[in-house]
Amino acid sequence: MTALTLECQALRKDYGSDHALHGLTLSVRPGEIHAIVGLNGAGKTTLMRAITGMTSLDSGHLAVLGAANPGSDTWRRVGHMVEHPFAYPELTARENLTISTRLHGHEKHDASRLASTWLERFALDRWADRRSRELSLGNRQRLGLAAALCHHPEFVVLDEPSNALDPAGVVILRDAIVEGAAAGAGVLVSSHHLDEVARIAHSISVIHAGHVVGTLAPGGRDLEHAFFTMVHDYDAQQGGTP
Amino acid sequence: MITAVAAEFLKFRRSITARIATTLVVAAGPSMALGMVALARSGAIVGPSQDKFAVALEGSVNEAHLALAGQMLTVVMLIAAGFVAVWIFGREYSDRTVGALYALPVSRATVGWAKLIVCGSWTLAVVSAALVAILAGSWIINADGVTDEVMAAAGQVWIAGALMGLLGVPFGLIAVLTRGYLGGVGAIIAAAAVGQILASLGIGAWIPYVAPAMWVGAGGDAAAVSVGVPHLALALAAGVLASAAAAVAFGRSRLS
Repeated sequence: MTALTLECQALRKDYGSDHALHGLTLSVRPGEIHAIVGLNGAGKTTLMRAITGMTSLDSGHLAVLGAANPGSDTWRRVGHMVEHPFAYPELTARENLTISTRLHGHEKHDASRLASTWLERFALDRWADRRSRELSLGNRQRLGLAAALCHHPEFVVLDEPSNALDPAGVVILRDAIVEGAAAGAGVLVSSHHLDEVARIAHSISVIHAGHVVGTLAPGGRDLEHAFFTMVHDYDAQQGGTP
Repeated sequence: MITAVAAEFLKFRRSITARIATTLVVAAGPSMALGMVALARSGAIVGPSQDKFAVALEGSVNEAHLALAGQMLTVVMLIAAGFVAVWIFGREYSDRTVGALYALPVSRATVGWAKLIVCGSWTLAVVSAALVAILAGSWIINADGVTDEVMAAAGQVWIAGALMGLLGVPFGLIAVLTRGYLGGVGAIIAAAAVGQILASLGIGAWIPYVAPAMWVGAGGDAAAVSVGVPHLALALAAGVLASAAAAVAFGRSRLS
């Protein structure tokens, strides 16, 4: 049996009386693009922060690429962009990408080659030697996505990756994600754009009030209606909006 | 570790903070000391203002220049190294790039130590460069030659400057704990102000942030001789431990 790329079981994280994660269970298989959708404050970002070690969990079982306590060998195979892109303002786009790739374990020469390839792939080659503070918000987002993907990770975590991207950037991102998954990477991606995730996701989980309240069929019709029905039904069962 | 140090060094080298702090230590401080001695010895200062320049009139020209430069260097190094440390340790929190340092094969602990290495290397480099600038100033205004006494005083200036620079690095810990620049900047201002007041009063040989400045004469000759190896060793130990704490805190910090 192939090991899961990501395994989350009964994750809990409280901020005071607020249950950011409330028994969340979810998994990602190799080659699977798993989208998570939810309203603001549903727990998507907290989940991604927990997966990448930015925040600790109160309880639950979390394993990344089979490792419950991921070390450098595991993180080398992970790429992520959670909340903010890897874009140091004083460094050029090329330097940012080269540093990110080196921090993911690649040698200098290799990192430089990968940086050039992915700058071109995300159509950033024109601005490669500009400091990232001079880039537009959308191009900084492209830079962060390139940094998350250019070392060919086996597990990719992307939080609202299409934010600030123009239509051309969305297409580049979509192709990169699909290609990575086709090569065997598991992808966990959060988004507010239901139509967008429906195009590429193999599975869609609806997160609400800190846990998965249901799934949507990627090929299904009127996902927005299905999403809101699921959320409202959950709230009604709980006796009101949270 | 090499990758982390290279990354931290590149970021620091490109920063405006590095350029301003380096200029302040290597050029501004030595230039002011040189100018003050030249002005005081020119006879152009008369009246009550002469008291302000008293240290520039004591002893030979070279001795007075080194004494003044040493006192200025201790203040400048604390502030400059403090700002450098606050920038190096706090910048990811302020510009919100810290998330990118998680889930990497190069651990945040390693990145924390790399930051410390860059801080320490910069401190030793600029205090050495400042001493070269000070000695060049001594050579320019030279009336007595670079004697053994002058070289001994120069060594004392270097040690005091390096110690105060080292004591600036722990402000990076404040930046980590407060997750940004402002807490660290406030602490630098408070430490510099309190330290200078205590040093000028000749109080605080056992206070790490005061002892090096007193040792180079900020509180007068009597206070200077009250500072010995144990006081300086305490300042060194406090600086090393608190600086290491900054690196460790960075490695252990979580976003919530």
